[in-house]
Amino acid sequence: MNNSIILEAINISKFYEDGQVKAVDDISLQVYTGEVLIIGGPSGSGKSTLLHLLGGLDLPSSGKVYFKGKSIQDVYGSKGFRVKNIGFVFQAFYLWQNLNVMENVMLPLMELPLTRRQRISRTKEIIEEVGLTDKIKAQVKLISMGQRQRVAVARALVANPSVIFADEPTGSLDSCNKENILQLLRRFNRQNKVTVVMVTHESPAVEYFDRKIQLLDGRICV
Amino acid sequence: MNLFTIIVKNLWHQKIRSLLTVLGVGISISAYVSLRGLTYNLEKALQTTYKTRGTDLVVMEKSTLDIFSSTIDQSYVARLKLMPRVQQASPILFYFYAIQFKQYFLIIGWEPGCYLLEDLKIDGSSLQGEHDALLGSIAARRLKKSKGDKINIRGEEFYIRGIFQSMNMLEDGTIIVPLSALQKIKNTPGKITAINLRLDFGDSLKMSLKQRKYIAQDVQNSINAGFGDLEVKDVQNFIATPFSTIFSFTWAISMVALLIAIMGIINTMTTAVLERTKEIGVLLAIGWRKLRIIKLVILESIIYGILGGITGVILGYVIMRILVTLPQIQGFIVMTYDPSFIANTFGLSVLVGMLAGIYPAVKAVSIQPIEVLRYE
Repeated sequence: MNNSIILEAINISKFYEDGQVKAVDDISLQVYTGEVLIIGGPSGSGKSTLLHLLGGLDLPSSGKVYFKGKSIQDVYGSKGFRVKNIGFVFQAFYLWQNLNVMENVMLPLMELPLTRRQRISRTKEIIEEVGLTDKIKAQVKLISMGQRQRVAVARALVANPSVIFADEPTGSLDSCNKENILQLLRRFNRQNKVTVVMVTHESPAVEYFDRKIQLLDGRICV
Repeated sequence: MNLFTIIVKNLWHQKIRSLLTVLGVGISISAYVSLRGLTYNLEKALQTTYKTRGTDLVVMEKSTLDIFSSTIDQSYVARLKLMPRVQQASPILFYFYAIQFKQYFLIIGWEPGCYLLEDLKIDGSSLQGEHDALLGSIAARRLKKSKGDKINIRGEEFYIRGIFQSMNMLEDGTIIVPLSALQKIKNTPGKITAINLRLDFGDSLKMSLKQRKYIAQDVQNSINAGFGDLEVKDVQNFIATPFSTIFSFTWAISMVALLIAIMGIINTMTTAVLERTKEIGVLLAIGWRKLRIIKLVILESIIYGILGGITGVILGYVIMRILVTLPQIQGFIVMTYDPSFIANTFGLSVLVGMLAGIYPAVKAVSIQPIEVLRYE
Protein backbone atom coordinates (compact mmCIF):
# COMPACT_ATOMS: atom_id res chain seq x y z
CA MET A 1 0.00 0.00 0.00
CA ASN A 2 1.26 3.48 -0.78
CA ASN A 3 -0.24 6.89 -0.27
CA SER A 4 -1.35 7.54 -3.85
CA ILE A 5 -5.10 7.69 -4.28
CA ILE A 6 -6.49 5.36 -6.91
CA LEU A 7 -10.17 6.00 -6.25
CA GLU A 8 -11.83 9.00 -4.74
CA ALA A 9 -15.48 9.65 -4.01
CA ILE A 10 -16.47 13.21 -3.26
CA ASN A 11 -19.81 13.82 -1.60
CA ILE A 12 -21.54 11.02 -3.46
CA SER A 13 -25.18 10.21 -2.82
CA LYS A 14 -27.55 7.74 -4.39
CA PHE A 15 -31.28 8.25 -4.07
CA TYR A 16 -34.13 6.01 -5.19
CA GLU A 17 -37.84 6.60 -5.55
CA ASP A 18 -37.55 10.33 -6.19
CA GLY A 19 -35.23 10.88 -3.25
CA GLN A 20 -37.41 9.08 -0.73
CA VAL A 21 -34.78 6.37 -0.21
CA LYS A 22 -31.17 7.39 0.38
CA ALA A 23 -29.00 4.32 -0.24
CA VAL A 24 -25.76 6.33 -0.06
CA ASP A 25 -25.85 9.66 1.66
CA ASP A 26 -23.10 12.21 1.02
CA ILE A 27 -20.07 9.95 1.33
CA SER A 28 -16.53 11.12 0.67
CA LEU A 29 -13.88 8.45 0.56
CA GLN A 30 -10.35 7.81 -0.69
CA VAL A 31 -9.04 4.41 -1.68
CA TYR A 32 -5.27 4.08 -1.77
CA THR A 33 -3.29 2.15 -4.33
CA GLY A 34 -2.53 -1.38 -3.17
CA GLU A 35 -4.74 -1.46 -0.09
CA VAL A 36 -7.48 -3.87 0.85
CA LEU A 37 -10.45 -1.81 1.98
CA ILE A 38 -13.37 -3.50 3.65
CA ILE A 39 -16.77 -1.86 3.51
CA GLY A 40 -18.82 -3.32 6.31
CA GLY A 41 -22.22 -2.72 7.73
CA PRO A 42 -25.57 -4.40 8.25
CA SER A 43 -27.93 -5.35 5.44
CA GLY A 44 -29.45 -2.31 3.74
CA SER A 45 -26.72 0.02 4.97
CA GLY A 46 -25.77 0.90 1.37
CA LYS A 47 -22.45 -0.92 1.15
CA SER A 48 -23.19 -2.71 -2.15
CA THR A 49 -24.54 0.51 -3.65
CA LEU A 50 -21.35 2.31 -2.62
CA LEU A 51 -19.27 -0.45 -4.22
CA HIS A 52 -21.25 -0.19 -7.46
CA LEU A 53 -20.78 3.58 -7.49
CA LEU A 54 -17.04 3.23 -6.92
CA GLY A 55 -16.82 0.57 -9.63
CA GLY A 56 -18.71 2.66 -12.17
CA LEU A 57 -21.57 0.18 -12.44
CA ASP A 58 -23.94 2.87 -11.27
CA LEU A 59 -23.86 6.64 -11.36
CA PRO A 60 -24.31 8.77 -8.25
CA SER A 61 -27.36 11.00 -7.96
CA SER A 62 -24.96 13.70 -6.82
CA GLY A 63 -21.21 13.96 -6.24
CA LYS A 64 -18.32 12.58 -8.26
CA VAL A 65 -16.13 9.48 -8.38
CA TYR A 66 -12.59 9.80 -9.66
CA PHE A 67 -10.40 6.96 -10.87
CA LYS A 68 -6.70 7.89 -10.94
CA GLY A 69 -7.78 11.51 -10.96
CA LYS A 70 -10.23 11.21 -13.86
CA SER A 71 -14.01 11.31 -13.52
CA ILE A 72 -15.27 7.74 -13.81
CA GLN A 73 -18.16 9.03 -15.91
CA ASP A 74 -15.68 10.26 -18.53
CA VAL A 75 -13.53 7.12 -18.68
CA TYR A 76 -16.28 4.52 -18.17
CA GLY A 77 -17.14 4.17 -21.84
CA SER A 78 -13.63 4.41 -23.24
CA LYS A 79 -12.44 1.30 -25.05
CA GLY A 80 -10.81 -1.30 -22.84
CA PHE A 81 -10.98 0.87 -19.71
CA ARG A 82 -13.02 -1.51 -17.60
CA VAL A 83 -11.18 -4.67 -18.67
CA LYS A 84 -7.77 -3.14 -18.03
CA ASN A 85 -8.61 -1.40 -14.77
CA ILE A 86 -11.50 -3.04 -12.99
CA GLY A 87 -12.34 -6.58 -11.95
CA PHE A 88 -15.52 -7.74 -10.23
CA VAL A 89 -16.20 -10.66 -7.91
CA PHE A 90 -19.81 -11.30 -6.90
CA GLN A 91 -21.40 -13.36 -4.16
CA ALA A 92 -23.33 -15.42 -6.75
CA PHE A 93 -20.22 -15.83 -8.96
CA TYR A 94 -22.19 -15.22 -12.20
CA LEU A 95 -20.25 -17.68 -14.28
CA TRP A 96 -21.39 -18.91 -17.70
CA GLN A 97 -22.79 -22.33 -16.83
CA ASN A 98 -22.22 -23.75 -20.29
CA LEU A 99 -18.56 -22.78 -20.43
CA ASN A 100 -15.73 -24.58 -18.68
CA VAL A 101 -13.34 -23.09 -16.12
CA MET A 102 -10.78 -21.93 -18.67
CA GLU A 103 -13.38 -20.36 -20.96
CA ASN A 104 -15.00 -18.47 -18.08
CA VAL A 105 -11.68 -17.08 -16.94
CA MET A 106 -10.72 -16.10 -20.47
CA LEU A 107 -13.85 -13.97 -21.09
CA PRO A 108 -12.32 -10.55 -20.19
CA LEU A 109 -9.29 -11.22 -22.39
CA MET A 110 -11.53 -11.35 -25.46
CA GLU A 111 -11.79 -7.57 -25.21
CA LEU A 112 -8.02 -7.13 -25.36
CA PRO A 113 -5.84 -7.19 -28.49
CA LEU A 114 -4.08 -10.45 -27.66
CA THR A 115 -3.25 -13.47 -29.77
CA ARG A 116 -4.95 -16.78 -29.05
CA ARG A 117 -1.66 -18.11 -27.66
CA GLN A 118 -1.27 -15.11 -25.33
CA ARG A 119 -4.84 -15.50 -24.07
CA ILE A 120 -4.41 -19.19 -23.35
CA SER A 121 -1.05 -18.67 -21.68
CA ARG A 122 -2.33 -15.89 -19.41
CA THR A 123 -5.49 -17.83 -18.55
CA LYS A 124 -3.55 -20.97 -17.63
CA GLU A 125 -1.20 -18.89 -15.52
CA ILE A 126 -3.98 -17.32 -13.44
CA ILE A 127 -5.85 -20.62 -13.11
CA GLU A 128 -2.68 -22.16 -11.75
CA GLU A 129 -2.38 -19.29 -9.29
CA VAL A 130 -5.86 -19.91 -7.92
CA GLY A 131 -5.09 -23.63 -7.70
CA LEU A 132 -7.52 -24.94 -10.25
CA THR A 133 -5.18 -26.40 -12.87
CA ASP A 134 -6.69 -29.85 -12.42
CA LYS A 135 -10.16 -28.37 -13.10
CA ILE A 136 -9.19 -26.32 -16.13
CA LYS A 137 -11.51 -28.19 -18.52
CA ALA A 138 -14.25 -28.85 -15.96
CA GLN A 139 -17.73 -27.45 -16.46
CA VAL A 140 -18.32 -24.80 -13.82
CA LYS A 141 -21.63 -26.35 -12.82
CA LEU A 142 -19.77 -29.51 -11.82
CA ILE A 143 -17.26 -27.94 -9.42
CA SER A 144 -17.74 -26.94 -5.78
CA MET A 145 -18.94 -23.50 -4.64
CA GLY A 146 -15.50 -22.63 -3.33
CA GLN A 147 -13.94 -23.58 -6.65
CA ARG A 148 -16.53 -21.53 -8.50
CA GLN A 149 -15.59 -18.48 -6.49
CA ARG A 150 -11.93 -19.13 -7.31
CA VAL A 151 -12.90 -19.15 -10.99
CA ALA A 152 -14.66 -15.80 -10.45
CA VAL A 153 -11.54 -14.41 -8.73
CA ALA A 154 -9.36 -15.67 -11.58
CA ARG A 155 -11.73 -14.05 -14.09
CA ALA A 156 -11.51 -10.77 -12.19
CA LEU A 157 -7.71 -10.91 -12.15
CA VAL A 158 -6.88 -12.34 -15.56
CA ALA A 159 -6.50 -8.97 -17.28
CA ASN A 160 -4.31 -7.59 -14.46
CA PRO A 161 -6.70 -4.82 -13.36
CA SER A 162 -5.72 -2.10 -10.92
CA VAL A 163 -8.75 -2.58 -8.67
CA ILE A 164 -10.88 -5.57 -7.73
CA PHE A 165 -14.37 -4.88 -6.45
CA ALA A 166 -15.66 -7.83 -4.46
CA ASP A 167 -19.30 -7.80 -3.42
CA GLU A 168 -19.78 -10.27 -0.55
CA PRO A 169 -17.32 -12.71 -2.17
CA THR A 170 -17.54 -15.11 0.74
CA GLY A 171 -21.28 -14.82 1.27
CA SER A 172 -22.15 -18.15 -0.36
CA LEU A 173 -19.24 -20.14 1.05
CA ASP A 174 -18.53 -22.34 4.05
CA SER A 175 -15.99 -21.18 6.62
CA CYS A 176 -13.10 -23.10 5.08
CA ASN A 177 -13.70 -21.69 1.60
CA LYS A 178 -14.25 -18.21 3.07
CA GLU A 179 -10.73 -18.31 4.45
CA ASN A 180 -9.36 -19.58 1.15
CA ILE A 181 -10.94 -16.77 -0.86
CA LEU A 182 -9.83 -14.10 1.61
CA GLN A 183 -6.30 -15.55 1.55
CA LEU A 184 -6.36 -15.58 -2.23
CA LEU A 185 -7.46 -11.96 -2.52
CA ARG A 186 -4.86 -10.91 0.05
CA ARG A 187 -2.15 -12.85 -1.80
CA PHE A 188 -2.95 -11.18 -5.10
CA ASN A 189 -3.14 -7.83 -3.35
CA ARG A 190 0.37 -8.27 -2.00
CA GLN A 191 1.85 -10.10 -4.96
CA ASN A 192 0.36 -8.04 -7.82
CA LYS A 193 -0.21 -4.78 -5.92
CA VAL A 194 -3.86 -4.92 -6.90
CA THR A 195 -6.20 -2.74 -4.86
CA VAL A 196 -9.16 -4.60 -3.37
CA VAL A 197 -12.41 -2.99 -2.31
CA MET A 198 -14.53 -5.61 -0.61
CA VAL A 199 -18.05 -5.45 0.74
CA THR A 200 -18.87 -7.85 3.52
CA HIS A 201 -21.27 -7.94 6.42
CA GLU A 202 -18.91 -10.27 8.25
CA SER A 203 -15.72 -9.38 10.10
CA PRO A 204 -12.70 -10.93 8.42
CA ALA A 205 -9.53 -11.47 10.41
CA VAL A 206 -7.30 -8.38 10.49
CA GLU A 207 -4.58 -10.00 8.39
CA TYR A 208 -6.87 -9.95 5.37
CA PHE A 209 -7.37 -6.19 5.10
CA ASP A 210 -5.61 -2.87 5.66
CA ARG A 211 -8.53 -0.64 6.42
CA LYS A 212 -12.18 -0.99 7.22
CA ILE A 213 -15.07 1.42 7.05
CA GLN A 214 -18.47 0.77 8.49
CA LEU A 215 -21.69 2.00 6.90
CA LEU A 216 -25.00 2.67 8.57
CA ASP A 217 -28.02 4.13 6.79
CA GLY A 218 -25.93 5.14 3.81
CA ARG A 219 -23.30 7.00 5.82
CA ILE A 220 -19.84 6.11 7.06
CA CYS A 221 -20.12 5.69 10.78
CA VAL A 222 -16.66 4.33 11.57
CA MET B 1 -11.86 -19.47 -27.40
CA ASN B 2 -13.76 -17.03 -29.55
CA LEU B 3 -17.38 -15.93 -29.97
CA PHE B 4 -18.09 -19.00 -32.05
CA THR B 5 -17.02 -21.29 -29.18
CA ILE B 6 -19.46 -19.54 -26.84
CA ILE B 7 -22.24 -19.80 -29.40
CA VAL B 8 -21.68 -23.51 -30.04
CA LYS B 9 -21.67 -24.15 -26.29
CA ASN B 10 -24.83 -22.09 -25.87
CA LEU B 11 -26.60 -24.14 -28.54
CA TRP B 12 -25.31 -27.40 -27.08
CA HIS B 13 -26.31 -26.36 -23.56
CA GLN B 14 -29.98 -26.18 -24.64
CA LYS B 15 -29.94 -29.10 -27.07
CA ILE B 16 -33.67 -29.73 -27.24
CA ARG B 17 -34.55 -26.06 -27.64
CA SER B 18 -31.86 -25.60 -30.27
CA LEU B 19 -33.03 -28.68 -32.14
CA LEU B 20 -36.67 -27.59 -32.05
CA THR B 21 -35.75 -24.10 -33.23
CA VAL B 22 -33.65 -25.48 -36.09
CA LEU B 23 -36.52 -27.82 -37.02
CA GLY B 24 -39.02 -24.95 -36.87
CA VAL B 25 -36.84 -22.76 -39.06
CA GLY B 26 -36.12 -25.76 -41.28
CA ILE B 27 -39.81 -26.44 -41.85
CA SER B 28 -40.42 -22.78 -42.72
CA ILE B 29 -37.44 -22.73 -45.08
CA SER B 30 -38.59 -26.02 -46.61
CA ALA B 31 -41.97 -24.42 -47.34
CA TYR B 32 -40.07 -21.59 -49.02
CA VAL B 33 -37.85 -24.02 -50.93
CA SER B 34 -40.69 -26.18 -52.17
CA LEU B 35 -42.97 -23.30 -53.14
CA ARG B 36 -40.39 -20.96 -54.59
CA GLY B 37 -38.38 -23.85 -55.97
CA LEU B 38 -41.29 -25.16 -57.98
CA THR B 39 -42.14 -21.77 -59.46
CA TYR B 40 -38.46 -21.01 -59.99
CA ASN B 41 -37.97 -24.31 -61.83
CA LEU B 42 -41.13 -23.69 -63.81
CA GLU B 43 -39.98 -20.24 -64.85
CA LYS B 44 -36.52 -21.52 -65.82
CA ALA B 45 -37.97 -24.44 -67.78
CA LEU B 46 -40.33 -22.15 -69.67
CA GLN B 47 -37.54 -19.73 -70.47
CA THR B 48 -35.37 -22.54 -71.83
CA THR B 49 -38.22 -23.87 -73.95
CA TYR B 50 -39.14 -20.56 -75.50
CA LYS B 51 -35.55 -19.50 -76.13
CA THR B 52 -34.47 -22.79 -77.69
CA ARG B 53 -37.61 -22.94 -79.79
CA GLY B 54 -36.79 -19.55 -81.22
CA THR B 55 -39.92 -17.73 -80.10
CA ASP B 56 -39.13 -14.04 -79.75
CA LEU B 57 -42.50 -12.51 -78.97
CA VAL B 58 -45.82 -13.74 -77.65
CA VAL B 59 -49.07 -11.99 -78.59
CA MET B 60 -52.11 -12.35 -76.35
CA GLU B 61 -55.30 -10.54 -75.38
CA LYS B 62 -54.72 -7.15 -73.83
CA SER B 63 -55.19 -6.66 -70.09
CA THR B 64 -55.89 -10.28 -69.19
CA LEU B 65 -54.74 -11.61 -65.82
CA ASP B 66 -52.72 -14.45 -67.34
CA ILE B 67 -52.39 -16.33 -70.59
CA PHE B 68 -55.04 -18.87 -69.63
CA SER B 69 -57.63 -16.07 -69.53
CA SER B 70 -56.59 -14.78 -72.97
CA THR B 71 -58.82 -15.27 -76.02
CA ILE B 72 -58.05 -13.69 -79.36
CA ASP B 73 -59.29 -14.07 -82.89
CA GLN B 74 -57.33 -16.44 -85.13
CA SER B 75 -57.53 -13.98 -88.00
CA TYR B 76 -54.75 -11.98 -86.35
CA VAL B 77 -52.29 -14.73 -87.29
CA ALA B 78 -52.49 -13.95 -91.00
CA ARG B 79 -52.27 -10.21 -90.38
CA LEU B 80 -49.24 -10.56 -88.14
CA LYS B 81 -47.49 -12.78 -90.65
CA LEU B 82 -47.60 -9.88 -93.10
CA MET B 83 -45.72 -7.56 -90.78
CA PRO B 84 -42.09 -6.76 -91.48
CA ARG B 85 -39.53 -8.85 -89.57
CA VAL B 86 -42.14 -11.48 -88.65
CA GLN B 87 -40.83 -14.80 -89.93
CA GLN B 88 -43.29 -17.20 -88.29
CA ALA B 89 -46.60 -16.76 -86.47
CA SER B 90 -47.97 -19.86 -84.78
CA PRO B 91 -51.32 -19.84 -83.00
CA ILE B 92 -51.77 -21.77 -79.78
CA LEU B 93 -54.82 -22.77 -77.81
CA PHE B 94 -54.82 -24.01 -74.21
CA TYR B 95 -57.44 -26.17 -72.56
CA PHE B 96 -57.46 -27.87 -69.17
CA TYR B 97 -59.50 -31.05 -69.19
CA ALA B 98 -59.88 -34.19 -67.08
CA ILE B 99 -59.23 -37.16 -69.34
CA GLN B 100 -59.87 -40.01 -66.92
CA PHE B 101 -60.34 -40.49 -63.19
CA LYS B 102 -60.38 -36.70 -62.74
CA GLN B 103 -56.76 -36.42 -63.84
CA TYR B 104 -56.37 -32.99 -65.34
CA PHE B 105 -54.18 -32.37 -68.33
CA LEU B 106 -53.17 -29.29 -70.24
CA ILE B 107 -54.21 -29.87 -73.82
CA ILE B 108 -52.46 -27.69 -76.37
CA GLY B 109 -53.73 -26.94 -79.84
CA TRP B 110 -51.01 -26.32 -82.44
CA GLU B 111 -51.21 -26.17 -86.21
CA PRO B 112 -49.70 -29.34 -87.74
CA GLY B 113 -46.35 -28.50 -89.31
CA CYS B 114 -45.80 -25.35 -87.22
CA TYR B 115 -42.29 -24.45 -86.07
CA LEU B 116 -43.22 -25.18 -82.47
CA LEU B 117 -43.20 -28.90 -83.25
CA GLU B 118 -39.68 -28.80 -84.67
CA ASP B 119 -37.70 -29.41 -81.49
CA LEU B 120 -39.88 -32.10 -79.95
CA LYS B 121 -38.24 -35.52 -79.82
CA ILE B 122 -41.09 -37.70 -81.03
CA ASP B 123 -41.17 -41.43 -80.69
CA GLY B 124 -43.51 -42.02 -83.62
CA SER B 125 -44.67 -39.43 -86.10
CA SER B 126 -45.92 -35.85 -85.88
CA LEU B 127 -49.46 -34.51 -86.19
CA GLN B 128 -50.98 -35.30 -89.57
CA GLY B 129 -54.75 -35.72 -89.44
CA GLU B 130 -57.53 -33.93 -87.57
CA HIS B 131 -57.77 -36.71 -84.96
CA ASP B 132 -54.11 -37.19 -84.23
CA ALA B 133 -52.61 -36.53 -80.85
CA LEU B 134 -49.11 -36.38 -79.40
CA LEU B 135 -48.63 -37.28 -75.76
CA GLY B 136 -45.84 -35.91 -73.63
CA SER B 137 -43.84 -38.67 -71.94
CA ILE B 138 -45.21 -37.82 -68.47
CA ALA B 139 -48.79 -37.61 -69.79
CA ALA B 140 -48.35 -40.99 -71.49
CA ARG B 141 -47.10 -42.49 -68.26
CA ARG B 142 -49.99 -41.03 -66.28
CA LEU B 143 -52.56 -42.23 -68.80
CA LYS B 144 -50.73 -45.55 -69.32
CA LYS B 145 -50.89 -45.00 -73.07
CA SER B 146 -48.37 -45.60 -75.82
CA LYS B 147 -48.18 -44.75 -79.50
CA GLY B 148 -50.92 -46.37 -81.53
CA ASP B 149 -53.40 -46.22 -78.63
CA LYS B 150 -56.46 -44.01 -78.58
CA ILE B 151 -57.65 -41.43 -76.10
CA ASN B 152 -60.98 -39.74 -75.69
CA ILE B 153 -61.11 -36.01 -75.12
CA ARG B 154 -64.59 -34.69 -74.41
CA GLY B 155 -66.27 -37.25 -76.64
CA GLU B 156 -63.76 -36.99 -79.49
CA GLU B 157 -61.48 -39.93 -80.11
CA PHE B 158 -57.82 -39.24 -80.92
CA TYR B 159 -55.17 -41.53 -82.30
CA ILE B 160 -51.83 -41.29 -80.52
CA ARG B 161 -49.28 -40.71 -83.29
CA GLY B 162 -46.30 -40.44 -80.98
CA ILE B 163 -44.90 -39.84 -77.54
CA PHE B 164 -42.71 -36.76 -77.26
CA GLN B 165 -40.07 -35.36 -75.00
CA SER B 166 -39.70 -31.61 -74.78
CA MET B 167 -37.06 -29.42 -73.19
CA ASN B 168 -39.13 -29.05 -70.06
CA MET B 169 -41.01 -31.48 -67.90
CA LEU B 170 -44.02 -29.16 -67.81
CA GLU B 171 -44.59 -29.66 -71.53
CA ASP B 172 -43.95 -33.39 -71.14
CA GLY B 173 -47.11 -33.53 -69.06
CA THR B 174 -49.29 -32.12 -71.87
CA ILE B 175 -51.23 -33.47 -74.83
CA ILE B 176 -50.84 -31.78 -78.23
CA VAL B 177 -53.67 -31.97 -80.75
CA PRO B 178 -54.37 -30.05 -83.97
CA LEU B 179 -55.59 -26.52 -83.28
CA SER B 180 -58.81 -26.95 -85.27
CA ALA B 181 -59.68 -30.13 -83.36
CA LEU B 182 -59.23 -28.42 -80.01
CA GLN B 183 -61.30 -25.43 -81.16
CA LYS B 184 -64.07 -27.89 -82.00
CA ILE B 185 -63.80 -29.64 -78.62
CA LYS B 186 -63.87 -26.32 -76.78
CA ASN B 187 -66.59 -25.08 -79.06
CA THR B 188 -64.61 -21.93 -79.81
CA PRO B 189 -64.14 -21.92 -83.57
CA GLY B 190 -61.75 -19.25 -84.85
CA LYS B 191 -60.54 -18.45 -81.35
CA ILE B 192 -57.07 -19.00 -79.97
CA THR B 193 -55.19 -18.27 -76.74
CA ALA B 194 -52.05 -16.61 -78.10
CA ILE B 195 -49.69 -16.34 -81.04
CA ASN B 196 -45.98 -17.19 -80.89
CA LEU B 197 -43.84 -15.05 -83.14
CA ARG B 198 -40.42 -15.90 -84.47
CA LEU B 199 -38.69 -12.84 -85.91
CA ASP B 200 -36.37 -12.53 -88.86
CA PHE B 201 -33.13 -10.87 -87.73
CA GLY B 202 -31.35 -11.34 -91.06
CA ASP B 203 -27.76 -12.39 -90.48
CA SER B 204 -28.19 -12.88 -86.76
CA LEU B 205 -24.60 -14.05 -86.29
CA LYS B 206 -23.38 -10.54 -86.99
CA MET B 207 -26.06 -8.98 -84.85
CA SER B 208 -25.51 -8.10 -81.21
CA LEU B 209 -28.03 -8.96 -78.51
CA LYS B 210 -28.74 -5.25 -78.15
CA GLN B 211 -29.56 -4.97 -81.86
CA ARG B 212 -31.87 -7.99 -81.65
CA LYS B 213 -33.64 -6.46 -78.68
CA TYR B 214 -34.01 -3.21 -80.57
CA ILE B 215 -35.62 -4.97 -83.55
CA ALA B 216 -37.92 -7.00 -81.27
CA GLN B 217 -38.93 -3.80 -79.51
CA ASP B 218 -39.65 -2.18 -82.85
CA VAL B 219 -41.97 -5.04 -83.89
CA GLN B 220 -43.56 -4.95 -80.43
CA ASN B 221 -44.26 -1.23 -80.79
CA SER B 222 -45.74 -1.69 -84.26
CA ILE B 223 -48.13 -4.41 -83.05
CA ASN B 224 -49.12 -2.44 -79.97
CA ALA B 225 -49.82 0.60 -82.15
CA GLY B 226 -51.69 -1.28 -84.87
CA PHE B 227 -53.72 -3.76 -82.80
CA GLY B 228 -55.51 -2.08 -79.93
CA ASP B 229 -56.88 -5.25 -78.35
CA LEU B 230 -53.60 -7.17 -78.38
CA GLU B 231 -50.68 -7.20 -76.03
CA VAL B 232 -47.17 -8.23 -77.09
CA LYS B 233 -44.52 -9.44 -74.71
CA ASP B 234 -40.98 -10.55 -75.18
CA VAL B 235 -40.27 -14.03 -73.85
CA GLN B 236 -38.64 -12.77 -70.66
CA ASN B 237 -41.71 -10.76 -69.67
CA PHE B 238 -44.12 -13.31 -70.98
CA ILE B 239 -42.83 -16.10 -68.76
CA ALA B 240 -43.98 -14.27 -65.66
CA THR B 241 -47.43 -13.56 -67.13
CA PRO B 242 -48.99 -17.02 -67.56
CA PHE B 243 -48.28 -17.96 -63.99
CA SER B 244 -48.48 -14.52 -62.45
CA THR B 245 -51.30 -15.56 -60.10
CA ILE B 246 -49.50 -18.74 -59.04
CA PHE B 247 -46.20 -16.86 -58.67
CA SER B 248 -47.82 -14.14 -56.53
CA PHE B 249 -49.60 -16.71 -54.42
CA THR B 250 -46.52 -18.85 -53.83
CA TRP B 251 -44.46 -15.71 -53.19
CA ALA B 252 -46.94 -14.58 -50.53
CA ILE B 253 -47.03 -18.00 -48.84
CA SER B 254 -43.25 -18.34 -48.91
CA MET B 255 -42.90 -14.88 -47.36
CA VAL B 256 -45.26 -15.96 -44.56
CA ALA B 257 -43.10 -19.07 -44.13
CA LEU B 258 -39.99 -16.88 -43.82
CA LEU B 259 -41.77 -14.63 -41.35
CA ILE B 260 -42.59 -17.69 -39.25
CA ALA B 261 -38.90 -18.66 -39.37
CA ILE B 262 -37.90 -15.18 -38.23
CA MET B 263 -40.46 -15.23 -35.40
CA GLY B 264 -39.24 -18.67 -34.30
CA ILE B 265 -35.65 -17.47 -34.00
CA ILE B 266 -36.69 -14.22 -32.30
CA ASN B 267 -38.65 -16.24 -29.74
CA THR B 268 -35.75 -18.60 -29.02
CA MET B 269 -33.10 -15.89 -28.92
CA THR B 270 -35.19 -13.56 -26.75
CA THR B 271 -35.77 -16.42 -24.30
CA ALA B 272 -32.04 -17.20 -24.34
CA VAL B 273 -31.14 -13.56 -23.71
CA LEU B 274 -33.63 -13.35 -20.83
CA GLU B 275 -32.19 -16.54 -19.33
CA ARG B 276 -28.67 -15.15 -19.58
CA THR B 277 -29.49 -11.70 -18.23
CA LYS B 278 -27.07 -12.02 -15.31
CA GLU B 279 -24.29 -13.50 -17.46
CA ILE B 280 -24.67 -10.72 -20.02
CA GLY B 281 -24.79 -8.19 -17.17
CA VAL B 282 -21.47 -9.55 -15.88
CA LEU B 283 -19.92 -9.39 -19.35
CA LEU B 284 -20.91 -5.74 -19.55
CA ALA B 285 -19.64 -5.18 -16.00
CA ILE B 286 -16.24 -6.72 -16.77
CA GLY B 287 -15.91 -4.50 -19.78
CA TRP B 288 -17.30 -6.28 -22.83
CA ARG B 289 -18.33 -3.69 -25.38
CA LYS B 290 -21.96 -3.61 -26.45
CA LEU B 291 -20.87 -4.32 -30.03
CA ARG B 292 -19.37 -7.64 -28.94
CA ILE B 293 -22.60 -8.59 -27.16
CA ILE B 294 -24.57 -7.67 -30.31
CA LYS B 295 -22.19 -9.83 -32.38
CA LEU B 296 -22.62 -12.71 -29.96
CA VAL B 297 -26.42 -12.64 -30.15
CA ILE B 298 -26.70 -11.99 -33.88
CA LEU B 299 -24.12 -14.66 -34.74
CA GLU B 300 -26.02 -17.20 -32.66
CA SER B 301 -29.17 -16.18 -34.45
CA ILE B 302 -27.43 -16.56 -37.83
CA ILE B 303 -26.26 -20.05 -36.85
CA TYR B 304 -29.92 -20.94 -36.25
CA GLY B 305 -30.68 -19.51 -39.70
CA ILE B 306 -27.90 -21.51 -41.38
CA LEU B 307 -28.76 -24.78 -39.63
CA GLY B 308 -32.44 -24.15 -40.40
CA GLY B 309 -31.46 -23.40 -44.00
CA ILE B 310 -29.60 -26.70 -44.38
CA THR B 311 -32.52 -28.60 -42.84
CA GLY B 312 -34.99 -26.63 -44.92
CA VAL B 313 -33.26 -27.20 -48.25
CA ILE B 314 -33.02 -30.96 -47.63
CA LEU B 315 -36.61 -31.13 -46.40
CA GLY B 316 -37.82 -28.86 -49.22
CA TYR B 317 -36.35 -31.09 -51.89
CA VAL B 318 -37.80 -34.17 -50.21
CA ILE B 319 -41.23 -32.46 -50.26
CA MET B 320 -40.78 -31.50 -53.91
CA ARG B 321 -39.78 -35.04 -54.79
CA ILE B 322 -42.94 -36.33 -53.15
CA LEU B 323 -45.08 -33.65 -54.84
CA VAL B 324 -43.84 -34.39 -58.34
CA THR B 325 -44.83 -38.02 -57.95
CA LEU B 326 -48.43 -37.29 -56.92
CA PRO B 327 -50.72 -38.29 -59.81
CA GLN B 328 -52.95 -35.23 -59.33
CA ILE B 329 -50.19 -32.78 -60.09
CA GLN B 330 -47.64 -34.86 -61.92
CA GLY B 331 -46.61 -33.08 -65.07
CA PHE B 332 -47.70 -29.64 -63.86
CA ILE B 333 -44.67 -29.12 -61.70
CA VAL B 334 -41.04 -29.72 -62.44
CA MET B 335 -38.07 -30.45 -60.25
CA THR B 336 -34.44 -29.63 -60.84
CA TYR B 337 -31.47 -29.01 -58.54
CA ASP B 338 -30.29 -25.52 -59.29
CA PRO B 339 -27.10 -24.54 -57.39
CA SER B 340 -27.91 -20.84 -57.70
CA PHE B 341 -31.35 -21.36 -56.14
CA ILE B 342 -29.82 -23.39 -53.29
CA ALA B 343 -27.14 -20.72 -52.78
CA ASN B 344 -29.82 -18.01 -52.74
CA THR B 345 -31.80 -19.97 -50.17
CA PHE B 346 -28.76 -20.25 -47.90
CA GLY B 347 -28.16 -16.52 -48.33
CA LEU B 348 -31.76 -15.95 -47.36
CA SER B 349 -31.37 -18.22 -44.30
CA VAL B 350 -28.43 -16.09 -43.15
CA LEU B 351 -30.54 -12.97 -43.69
CA VAL B 352 -33.44 -14.54 -41.76
CA GLY B 353 -31.07 -15.27 -38.86
CA MET B 354 -29.59 -11.79 -38.99
CA LEU B 355 -32.97 -10.05 -39.01
CA ALA B 356 -34.24 -12.30 -36.24
CA GLY B 357 -31.19 -11.50 -34.12
CA ILE B 358 -31.71 -7.74 -34.11
CA TYR B 359 -34.42 -7.56 -31.46
CA PRO B 360 -32.78 -9.99 -28.99
CA ALA B 361 -29.44 -8.22 -29.53
CA VAL B 362 -31.00 -4.84 -28.73
CA LYS B 363 -32.64 -6.47 -25.72
CA ALA B 364 -29.26 -7.86 -24.60
CA VAL B 365 -27.39 -4.57 -24.76
CA SER B 366 -30.20 -2.74 -23.02
CA ILE B 367 -29.44 -4.83 -19.93
CA GLN B 368 -28.11 -2.60 -17.17
CA PRO B 369 -25.50 -4.55 -15.17
CA ILE B 370 -26.51 -2.75 -12.02
CA GLU B 371 -30.13 -3.81 -12.42
CA VAL B 372 -29.37 -7.50 -12.79
CA LEU B 373 -26.52 -7.69 -10.30
CA ARG B 374 -28.13 -5.62 -7.58
CA TYR B 375 -30.39 -8.32 -6.18
CA GLU B 376 -28.86 -11.65 -5.35
